[in-house]
Amino acid sequence: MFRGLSGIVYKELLQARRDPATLVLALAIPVIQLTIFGFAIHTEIRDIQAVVVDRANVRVGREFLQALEATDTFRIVGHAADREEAMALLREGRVQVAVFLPDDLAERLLARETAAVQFLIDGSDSNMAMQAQAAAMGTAVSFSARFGSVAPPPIEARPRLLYNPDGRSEAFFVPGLLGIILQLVTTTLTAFAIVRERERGTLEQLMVTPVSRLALTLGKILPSILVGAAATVLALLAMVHVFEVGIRGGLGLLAALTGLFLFTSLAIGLLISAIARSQLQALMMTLLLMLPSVLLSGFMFPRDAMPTPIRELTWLIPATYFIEIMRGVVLRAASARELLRFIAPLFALGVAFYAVAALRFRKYVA
Amino acid sequence: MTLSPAPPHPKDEAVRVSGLSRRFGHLLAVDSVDFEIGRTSIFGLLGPNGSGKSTIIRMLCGLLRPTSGEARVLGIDVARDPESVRRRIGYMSQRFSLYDELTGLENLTFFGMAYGLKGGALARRRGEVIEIVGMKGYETRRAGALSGGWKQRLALACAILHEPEILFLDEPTAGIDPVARRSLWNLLFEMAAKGTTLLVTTHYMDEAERCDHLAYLYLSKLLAWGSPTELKAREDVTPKGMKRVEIRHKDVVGLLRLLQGSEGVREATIFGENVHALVDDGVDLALPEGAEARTVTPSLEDVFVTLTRRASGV
Ligand SMILES: Nc1ncnc2c1ncn2[C@@H]1O[C@H](COP(=O)(O)OP(=O)(O)O)[C@@H](O)[C@H]1O
Ligand SMILES: [Mg+2]
Repeated sequence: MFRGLSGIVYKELLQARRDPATLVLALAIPVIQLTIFGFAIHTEIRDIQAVVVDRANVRVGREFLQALEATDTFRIVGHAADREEAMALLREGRVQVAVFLPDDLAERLLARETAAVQFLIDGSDSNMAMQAQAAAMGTAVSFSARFGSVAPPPIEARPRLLYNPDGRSEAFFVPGLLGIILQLVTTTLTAFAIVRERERGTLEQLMVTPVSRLALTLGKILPSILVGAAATVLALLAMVHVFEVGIRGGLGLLAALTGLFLFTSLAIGLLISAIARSQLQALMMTLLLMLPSVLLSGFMFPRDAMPTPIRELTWLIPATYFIEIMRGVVLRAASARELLRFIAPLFALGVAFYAVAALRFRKYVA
Repeated sequence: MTLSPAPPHPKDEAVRVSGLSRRFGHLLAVDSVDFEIGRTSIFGLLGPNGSGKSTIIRMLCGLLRPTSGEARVLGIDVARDPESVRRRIGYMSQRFSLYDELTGLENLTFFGMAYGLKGGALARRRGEVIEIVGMKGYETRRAGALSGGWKQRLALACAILHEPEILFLDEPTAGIDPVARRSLWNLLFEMAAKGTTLLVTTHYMDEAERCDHLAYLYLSKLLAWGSPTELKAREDVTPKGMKRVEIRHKDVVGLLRLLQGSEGVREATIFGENVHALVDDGVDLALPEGAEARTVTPSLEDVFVTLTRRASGV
């Protein structure tokens, strides 16, 4: 039954050793990724970015804000002059919570009336929104206790969820998932399209024709763009009709930015195909890039909860920007200008990947 | 783009290679090689595996950059202007490299488009090359399902779609049966007769005999080049004071041993039922009963065996 088994194993081991690139990929991926993700991923939510509108600016107000920060749940990243400015920061995705202290805070406390502190919470991430809500209420209760047991309580938190008032997790996951799936499809398609030709020797036959390199790479990319665009439309339809996550922002903007993300994913695919010597290597590299896109992009786990060096690294992942963009356009109806700080780097990454791929490609063939 | 070949400049040879070298890391795959190929000839590039034949062809097609030296094809420096060269040459690589999942016709259409053929012109030319390579009736099969000989015909058809002036064929007959080999060579002769210059690599001696000119590569170096007649007449193959004899005997192995131990025998090699030996003039060979010896002109194989032995210092 097992006749020849040792021979096959012997041969497979030898072959694996003769293909060091693939072997290194196979051995290094688990260790590196496990280490990074093990450190990076914390589901416990801390440091939710908050902006404060505190026009009264009295001592008791500042003490309340300190109490808020002391919970570790919130991190106050700035002060806004008024409601408009705070709302803009929420829509841009710079903060997830806006805290409004009442203008007459001191007067109300003196008059022994309840002062209501309003919390506007970005409800996109329902899990985060829940924790923010709980922490807001808890802080208000424990802060009130400093004044002794008085009724009515001197300070009360009034949280309100924006964008996803029902706290549905689909609203949070589906737009991001769409980005992840698009990236997987387009990167893989492009990477394999060229590596397959190289592996089979047809690339060389193509290279002796007068077909230009631009025509070759574009010709390879265009069908992938078509497939990617069709996949996007289907995925968006499913998002709206199956998961009932409506698109609040502009469709044109969504289409344009999705196109930009497709371009970046394709450029990554092209880069992989310029480096990988075999389809197996291409597959491994695609996976190598896929995992951070899933785990570090903020798709599943909040980036705010990651250690600082890793949080900075997540800015190298195109999916990070696209997921921010998707949530911004779909849930918060953000405008292009409000999302510019995600759009510009995504574009830059795409161009950089494409340029490196094109250079690499030329070098190999010549 | 236009597909009509530029008017030939008779003064330009088809290929001129001078001091051509290519290094892969520590390995010198091609070591300062020089040769020329005239127009409308069949030029054979011979040499054992790994001697650098494919590397030379790939440099001539602009797929690899020479490390040093120069390759001119149709008077154009390939490294400087590979695009102009590519329009005018055809290349059939050592490995079957068409699309297995496409039919012959679809492969032809694709490569036709890659060479800028369109519409009626493409359809016409496709029909012509199917006719030329004689694969009518097979063109609708998937390329991957064709047998070796038909695959090579299809690959040849794809390589000549754009009416190249020079065809580079890298071991076109490797791995196909003798009948298919013969008919492929007949095709090549026809093409040469119609004015195409062919460069063919091979390690079959009978194929070498059919070439107008030959270059012999050994360990990355060019050992000799010229017409078969010139090569056989080379002084270093049959030096002065020696002669080449063919000895026929029923026990060739025994005869070979005997000759290798004899005084005045420089070289002895089995050729089928004969032994070819390079013998000093005036030596009287003590031959066994029934052996017949006669003086012959060297075969190409003699030439290459002798040159190879000398180059490797045996
Ligand atoms: N792309 C390459 N990278 C590294 N070594 C190569 C490459 N191509 C060929 N070689 C080496 O160069 C030598 C000559 O190869 P090649 O030209 O294919 O020989 P031939 O066609 O005569 O069999 C061989 O030793 C081969 O391993
Ligand atoms: Mg070869």
